[in-house]
Amino acid sequence: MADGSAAGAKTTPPSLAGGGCGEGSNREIRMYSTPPPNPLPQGEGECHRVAPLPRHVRSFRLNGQDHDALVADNVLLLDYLRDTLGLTGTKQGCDGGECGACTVLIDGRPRLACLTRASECAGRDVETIEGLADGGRPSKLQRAFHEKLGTQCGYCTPGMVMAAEALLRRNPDPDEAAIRAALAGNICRCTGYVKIIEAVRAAAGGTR
Amino acid sequence: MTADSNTPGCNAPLRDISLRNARDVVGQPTPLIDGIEKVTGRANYTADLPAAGALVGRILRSPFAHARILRIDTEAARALPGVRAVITGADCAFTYGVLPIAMNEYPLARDVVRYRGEPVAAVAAVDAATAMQALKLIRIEVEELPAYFTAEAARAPDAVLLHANKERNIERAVHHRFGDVDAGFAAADLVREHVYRCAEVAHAQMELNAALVEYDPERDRLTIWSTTQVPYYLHLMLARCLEMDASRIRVVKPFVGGGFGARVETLNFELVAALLARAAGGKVSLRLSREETFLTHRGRPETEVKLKLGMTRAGKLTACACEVVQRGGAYAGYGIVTILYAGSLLHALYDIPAIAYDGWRVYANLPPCGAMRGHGSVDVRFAFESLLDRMAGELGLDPFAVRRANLLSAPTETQNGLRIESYGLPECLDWVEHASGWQERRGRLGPGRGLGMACSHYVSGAAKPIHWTGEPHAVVHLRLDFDGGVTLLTGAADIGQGSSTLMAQAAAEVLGIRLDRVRVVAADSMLTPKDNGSYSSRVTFMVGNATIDAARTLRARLVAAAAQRLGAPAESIECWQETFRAAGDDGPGLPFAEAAASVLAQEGGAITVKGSFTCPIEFQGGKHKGGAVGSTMGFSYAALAVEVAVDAETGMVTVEKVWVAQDCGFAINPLAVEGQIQGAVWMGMGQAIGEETRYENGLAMHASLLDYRVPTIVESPPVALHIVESIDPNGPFGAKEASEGALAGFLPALTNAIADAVGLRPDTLPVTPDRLLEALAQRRRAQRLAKALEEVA
Repeated sequence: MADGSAAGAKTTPPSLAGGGCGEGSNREIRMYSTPPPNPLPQGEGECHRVAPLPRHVRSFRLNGQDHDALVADNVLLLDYLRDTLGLTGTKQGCDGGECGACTVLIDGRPRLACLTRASECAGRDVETIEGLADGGRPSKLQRAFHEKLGTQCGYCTPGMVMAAEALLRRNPDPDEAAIRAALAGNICRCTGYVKIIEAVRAAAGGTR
Repeated sequence: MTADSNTPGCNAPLRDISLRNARDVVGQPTPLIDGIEKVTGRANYTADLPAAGALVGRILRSPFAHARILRIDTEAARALPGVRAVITGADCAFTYGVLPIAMNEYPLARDVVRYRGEPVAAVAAVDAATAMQALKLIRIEVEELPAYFTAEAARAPDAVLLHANKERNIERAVHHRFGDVDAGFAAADLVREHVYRCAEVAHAQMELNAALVEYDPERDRLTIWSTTQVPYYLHLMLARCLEMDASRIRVVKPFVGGGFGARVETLNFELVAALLARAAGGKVSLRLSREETFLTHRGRPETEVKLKLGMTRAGKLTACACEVVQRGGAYAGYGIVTILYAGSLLHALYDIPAIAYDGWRVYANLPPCGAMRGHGSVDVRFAFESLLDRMAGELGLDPFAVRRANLLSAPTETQNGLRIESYGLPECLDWVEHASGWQERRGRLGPGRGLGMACSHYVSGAAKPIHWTGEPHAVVHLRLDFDGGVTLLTGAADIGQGSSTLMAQAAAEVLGIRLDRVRVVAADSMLTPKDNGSYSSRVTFMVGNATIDAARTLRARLVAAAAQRLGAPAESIECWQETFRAAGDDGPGLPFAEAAASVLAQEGGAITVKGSFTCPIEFQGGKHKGGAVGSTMGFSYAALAVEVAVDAETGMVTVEKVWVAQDCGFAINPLAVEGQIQGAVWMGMGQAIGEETRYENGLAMHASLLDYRVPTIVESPPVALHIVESIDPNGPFGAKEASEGALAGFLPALTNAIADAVGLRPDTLPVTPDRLLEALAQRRRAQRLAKALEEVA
């Protein structure tokens, strides 16, 4: 709890701008220990005021399809997916690496799209929540989250589902401890996680 | 995982089924009607909406906790290529606020900034980098003022006032007396007084605050998509702050990623985004970071509770005296309501002959507090159930027996004018005592382990609306057209709690149709009727009743048409499983679609019916000042038991298991009720064991999800729960609220369990390892000192 009055404290005013103000500033500060060579384009429209980094073609698999991405090397996978490709199923819930809402699979492993550059995906297999459904029908795991109410507001759900998907691929019949360990980096503020655990167990066949 | 089976209402009276012509929709565990969108990633939240070509908004925030603004120089920012609008407090001279009697906040600070992080200026530019660069070019000259970060400092006699005419920075002082408190304490065999402290906590809803605004300068029309729980209040404040006729504004609520009270009032960023869009003459996307979302705040205030209780040897309460101080932050928000709730909800849980309440809501130079799940009741309930437990122990009484010695019986009216029509607390207590193995297990769990219990309650919607417009409390439209689909139009905001699903269930049940024949549109002010929004757990009760009203009206018209077609009197017609039949007729009947076609032919095309609900005046609380707060048509009740393990070496508290029973009247959607209760209990756990905001000279030190630690799946316990159905006489199908009532009980149940485990009763929340270790060390020092003094003597 904070201390009492700081009456008349005439400290040097902190910098007015950028000091933890906008989305951009936070992500710059949190992403780099030293400032990047150029400010990051934040995806909400192209950056015209600063010279952009050169773009390169980076080829990878995206939800089962070959994909050629034309990106600068400092573009986050999260921004590329959401703003360039319109794959908004992957959510942003924090200023970088705090919440797990942007979890995607890279070569089958859960990764945070907010801590991954799109260019790092070259030659890899990237899967997002949009790639999980089959012919528009939810996967068994997605259906379990729906039917067991593993989702309330739904904002953490794509990340939660992708983290659980990674678990079930390497361990088709996880016990409760394994489920808890696998989802430890994904925050949900609605469910108390009770029904999330039930959903993952149901999707796994619930033999345990 | 446990989630023991929840056979509804084993102790409850039989349901009144007269309302139901089928029994297959309400009362059934029902996945959310918008759940598929959520699990497939197709659900569009505000930040997911197409924003091609939108300008990017950014906010410049005050680095000063309290300062007079002398000058803001935006010239360089305006001159930067790519910048389309720069606005400051000069661009909006109108205050906003959720309570008409306490609107004292500007979208952008004017003249004075009152907390670090308060919006001072904002920019709309062609991209984020340009907007950020523009912010850096804005210069502010200020004269710093003394700043206060505790209620105590702000209340000092010589403190500078944050707001004119608020002596000693007290926003509202409340002094309520009910019954003869002195006589009550005189009649007690045991009187105890103690001071409890609760840290400020935040909602930390997962979705970041965001708004998308489109302004059409040619026609002077504005559309906003926002992360709101209260589209109507947002609409009112947009009209006020932008000086626009409300008819030129459209408010749309897309999917919303949680709220918990953070979004139950208009927030500065929404107004800033609208002002930017108008200034730029176009579309602006304003997305806040997690840090900014924390700074926007509106959380539960830091609270000090001084509580005194009187009790007879048999455990009967004789009197209660309670003083509450809340550090409310820099602006009013819901503050007056919060400090009133803290007092009024001392009532309506137990039968207490006399209650004195003194509350002070204090301004401080910190982000404004507001309503958070369990609004106003939580910290006081922690104090109350803690002291009750301690006194039970001193008298050698069982904690369950003490609660049972003070039960109310419905129907009744409390001394402060709150009406209670249903009261399932006794059944809650019975189930929790039995399920937790209380009598057999308590005291026999081994060293460092303990069991604790507590009770709590909450309102099902505030019976007196904030704006006394004379309109009903809730209005719902049902639309029927040629396709035979029933479209439910509501302004109520589904924020993940499942209100749209609940309304669809209620409509389908009354109409006798399949759930998937009902579509729900929520909420778009261009299409949907006004609704006060999702707060104070009002939606199930009020909007649920309005839905039933609308569905009954539509049913009557369908039945009249079906009666003609079937050649039977209307009174004998029922619709069940989409088929109209006369009583005793076991023929094929008339399919719903044909009855619908007949109605449309008769009535000249598509029909829309209206249903409404109003809380009668006798439910709107006592006549004393502030008497409306706490008034409701139905209280939910909850009892909880918590089992903990305490590591005396590390101070670590592990919640092993929770048992919770809640009287929600009737579970319209038992699946959602379970989810709400589990979530509420868990949110209580977060506040009890770890969550707290921290400020250094007014600078938020907690503003990330790494620093503000909500429980992860690893430390979250199994929750065994039981739904008690007391069938409230006024609730929709007997239902009451299910989302808030169990939260408050968790906090004292936890500390009571710690007391059982280690014999030490925490009085400060959260019970972090360092606090508990310090308390244990203090006890050892005191014990050594006592022993030494004994030896000397």
